[in-house]
Amino acid sequence: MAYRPDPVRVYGHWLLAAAGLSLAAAAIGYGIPKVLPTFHLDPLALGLIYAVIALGLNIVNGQAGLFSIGHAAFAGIGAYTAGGLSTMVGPRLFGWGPGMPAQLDSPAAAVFFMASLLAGGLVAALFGYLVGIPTLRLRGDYLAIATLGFGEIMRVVLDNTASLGGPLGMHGIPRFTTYPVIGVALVLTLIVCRNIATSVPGRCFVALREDEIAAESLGIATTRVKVNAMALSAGIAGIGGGLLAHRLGSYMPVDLSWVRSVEFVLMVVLGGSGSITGTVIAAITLGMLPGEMLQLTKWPWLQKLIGNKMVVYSVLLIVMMLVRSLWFKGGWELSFQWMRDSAARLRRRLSRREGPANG
Amino acid sequence: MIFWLQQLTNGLSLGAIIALIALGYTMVYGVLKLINFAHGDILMVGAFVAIYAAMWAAHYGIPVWFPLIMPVSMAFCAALGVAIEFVAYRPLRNAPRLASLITAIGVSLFLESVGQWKLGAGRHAFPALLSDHRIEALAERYGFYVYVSDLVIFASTLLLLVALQAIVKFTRFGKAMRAVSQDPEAARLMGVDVNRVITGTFALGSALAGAGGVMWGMKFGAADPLMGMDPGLKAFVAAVVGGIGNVPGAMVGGFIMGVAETLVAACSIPIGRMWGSDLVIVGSNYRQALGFLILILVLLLRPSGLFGRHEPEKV
Amino acid sequence: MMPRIGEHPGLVAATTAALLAVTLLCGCPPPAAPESGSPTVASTSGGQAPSDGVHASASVQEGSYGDRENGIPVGAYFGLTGAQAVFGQDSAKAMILALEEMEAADWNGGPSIHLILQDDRCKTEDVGLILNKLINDDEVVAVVGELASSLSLVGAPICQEEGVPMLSPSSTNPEVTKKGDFIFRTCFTDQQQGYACAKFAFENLEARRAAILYPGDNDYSVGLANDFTAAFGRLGGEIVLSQGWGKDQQDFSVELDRAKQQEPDVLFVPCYYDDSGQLASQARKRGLDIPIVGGDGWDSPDVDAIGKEATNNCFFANHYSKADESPIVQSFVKSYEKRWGEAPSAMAATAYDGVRILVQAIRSVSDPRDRLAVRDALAATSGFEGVTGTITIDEDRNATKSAVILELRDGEQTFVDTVQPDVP
Repeated sequence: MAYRPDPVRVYGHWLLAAAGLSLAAAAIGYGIPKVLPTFHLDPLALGLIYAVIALGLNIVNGQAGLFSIGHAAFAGIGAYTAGGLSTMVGPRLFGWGPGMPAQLDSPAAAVFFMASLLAGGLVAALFGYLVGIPTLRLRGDYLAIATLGFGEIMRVVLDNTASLGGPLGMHGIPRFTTYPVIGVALVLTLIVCRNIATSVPGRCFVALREDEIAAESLGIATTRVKVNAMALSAGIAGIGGGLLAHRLGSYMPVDLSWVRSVEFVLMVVLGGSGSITGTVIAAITLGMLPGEMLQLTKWPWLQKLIGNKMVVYSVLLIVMMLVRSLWFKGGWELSFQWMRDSAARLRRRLSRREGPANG
Repeated sequence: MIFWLQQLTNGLSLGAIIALIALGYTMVYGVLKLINFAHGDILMVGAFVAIYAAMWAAHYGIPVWFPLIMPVSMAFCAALGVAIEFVAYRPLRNAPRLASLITAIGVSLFLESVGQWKLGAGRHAFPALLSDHRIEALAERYGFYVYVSDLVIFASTLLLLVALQAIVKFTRFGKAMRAVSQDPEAARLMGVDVNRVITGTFALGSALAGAGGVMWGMKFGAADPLMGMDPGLKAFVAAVVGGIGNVPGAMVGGFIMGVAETLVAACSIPIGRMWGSDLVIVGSNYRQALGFLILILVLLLRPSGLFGRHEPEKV
Repeated sequence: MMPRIGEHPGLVAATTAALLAVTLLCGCPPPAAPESGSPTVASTSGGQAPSDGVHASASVQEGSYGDRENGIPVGAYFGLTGAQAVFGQDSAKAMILALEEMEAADWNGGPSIHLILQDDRCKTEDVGLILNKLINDDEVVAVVGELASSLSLVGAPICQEEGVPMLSPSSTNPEVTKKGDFIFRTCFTDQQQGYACAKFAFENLEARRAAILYPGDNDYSVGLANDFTAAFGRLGGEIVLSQGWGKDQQDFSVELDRAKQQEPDVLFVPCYYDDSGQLASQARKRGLDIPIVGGDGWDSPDVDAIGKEATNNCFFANHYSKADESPIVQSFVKSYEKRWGEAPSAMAATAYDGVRILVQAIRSVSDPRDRLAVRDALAATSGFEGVTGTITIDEDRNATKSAVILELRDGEQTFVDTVQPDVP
């Protein structure tokens, strides 16, 4: 008798996953703005967008073990592309003007916005590909410097391109990135990252990180895998950059500088390189920090005690790294499996504690 | 012709300082495999120590003289470097390398923001520690400007390089340093006190940064809390171009960076305008971008820098 | 032998603590430092002992100032830390001074003011966060900020959408006030200033060939360079070289040599005061003795401090002259020096006027918490006697006022000419 899989067992998982993810997107998009006080919303939105960019970086930096300090440039390319479409093409199609309250009032406009985000991601991915082909034969720190150099070159080129605003930057980008948009984008990014991590390409990335020669001897085309990782990662960062541009309403050449790239590296490292959960949590924490520190003006004594917030920020950074062993272990993920396991562990521990008492 | 000779001189005098700073980068990297992002900010501290030392010296009637001020700066920076290593890098010795990179960035941010907080964000005048006379014969006859201060900077850089090479090559400490750089574990087994070597390396590297800070301040006449970023980045690139970890390589890298950037800025060939931006093949607007382009090209031709040893992968 | 530091953790810890303490304390001047920080500067001749080259001035921190309980909340956002902190610091200091004076003298009567000063670290993303917090959380009636036009352009649409008056004391890009009817400025625009500089260079200095050097990553400088180019060309002059320099660059030798090669009559350098003194001294060292003309970005004690003798034969456009005998200018300069121990810069002067105009508007309306009324009062500002001249807000919400040209002579600013803002 032929094997007939139970449709509920096969498609049920899919349905469950789809329902759960839609629920997550809805929770981020509609739940959080209802629950959270207003003044936490803006910092959190930035944190969630940074999470998208950091997840992109996590693919090369965390999973494939390639050290890039140029991701602010990829995000910037995405931002300038998407922002350019929204400020130059959008007004002609939909009459978005400067000073107009930005709303996606028609389905066509929403589709256009999504398309421009995707275009930003594609252009960034293309750049990632082009940068990747020559530079990815470099190792470790040399690759880091090459990507840093690429970012700085992009910044200088934008500074000198008057039609994109020069050093003044691109302004008047409609602020379309609302919470529902962020929710959908983040959940989609999470799905992509999660699926890549647990599928053949992701395993290739990790193999490459652990031992390049061994990976090669297993028949992995290392250069191609690296370039693919770079392009994918740049593409996700580009989409994140597009989101960011449509949140801030402006984007400037300064935002492409290596100092900015380092902030994204920070998120990945702090999240325990390679861990998706850790990266998201670290991105949200670091992304919210500047916004939350603004609240200090409400407590003058605390303000006086702290003195200068940037000093505190830098000390926090050092301390967070020093006690990193208390943070995330690389590779740890929040998953149903982990929850089940830790619940079992808890039960075992509880029963063991009861054990001696009973005699 | 004189113009290009002049630009070459400009480039060499800029390159000398970059080379000096790059030496510190490359030493620390060679031993610890750590990109010390705080190096540029130690340079800034060195410049400010010189400003204050000059002020105190003037107050107590001590002659404010370059050979007196510079060691003060270097000593303070050496101590600072050791302190930074102890607080921020040593606890992470066995952590992934990226972790200490992040603390390096944290230390860099810390020094910069303390500087802006306590010293004010503005630019401070740097005392004239050296005569800024030019060699008049050349200036009058050819319009070619060579400054005594540049010659002193050049000479000091070479002197420090030779001294450093001598330390690395001929002293017990240098031997220990090379051993740690090759294989810290084996060095430890051979009885080398790895921690002490690292401390010493940081002291040396930071002292060089201090010297670089004094020279940078002296050459350009000013110091501010963020002054370390630009020389820091350039020196870092120079160290990589020369093959990071290699002392003469860093030197050559520094000169390449200085000369290349200067020559690139000197020849600007406008070829029209397109999309609202000046299309120049090379030029001052793009000088920083071109510095990085050179870096990438060098790395593509020689993936471990000009003088870096190519290490074959071992399985 | 190396000191055996590594083996004595206690010693190292002590060194560390001591060093950090020294680092933190090195803001204190040595005993000989003059009380008022007007810097007298190291002579550039070799070997001589420098006197105080550092003006010891603590920086201003983020926080709330004034009457926290009952004051009318007013927001301000500047970069108090970060790449361009020096300008934010100067503006914030002047605002705090203006506020203290107004409260002490009960200026114009009316409610007291609660100033909430926030630091945007010169970063794009912080501007939105700050405005959101100020507008929705602190419920400010108006905001003052930013200085850099690029960041003002980030804030302007937000303020416009939320209906909160925003007043920029020193963003010169014309685009800023075009963002809507809630956006004001109390300084002149690039066009006015570029024209004033070009006219001065062409007519007073009789220059026909001008070379322009500017920091290519600074929107203020690029804008001013473009407007100078246009104005100078219209007058009949020729731009022989226009060259930008890179971020954080301190070595201008190549740029200056290239300018020298073109043999210009005048050098136009629209940079800020952190670069100008250095550039002037390097130019003189390289034998470039032609007049150097700058914009209002030059006005600061730092310029004279860094390039004292070199700044002879340098001219710059400014909002006012410190030597002006009018009581308001003199009292501002004196009280600023008394309060902060340093001479005011152009940023300080414009911010001082900006916040006073805003407070005057707030105190003139019946309900000071009504943002619309404050907006209307701001728009109706006319003939305000400020430090930087008589300010009238025109229908485009820009300030119309004349520019003065100052000359630097041995570090002293002397008045040369007044240029009317009638851009043809």
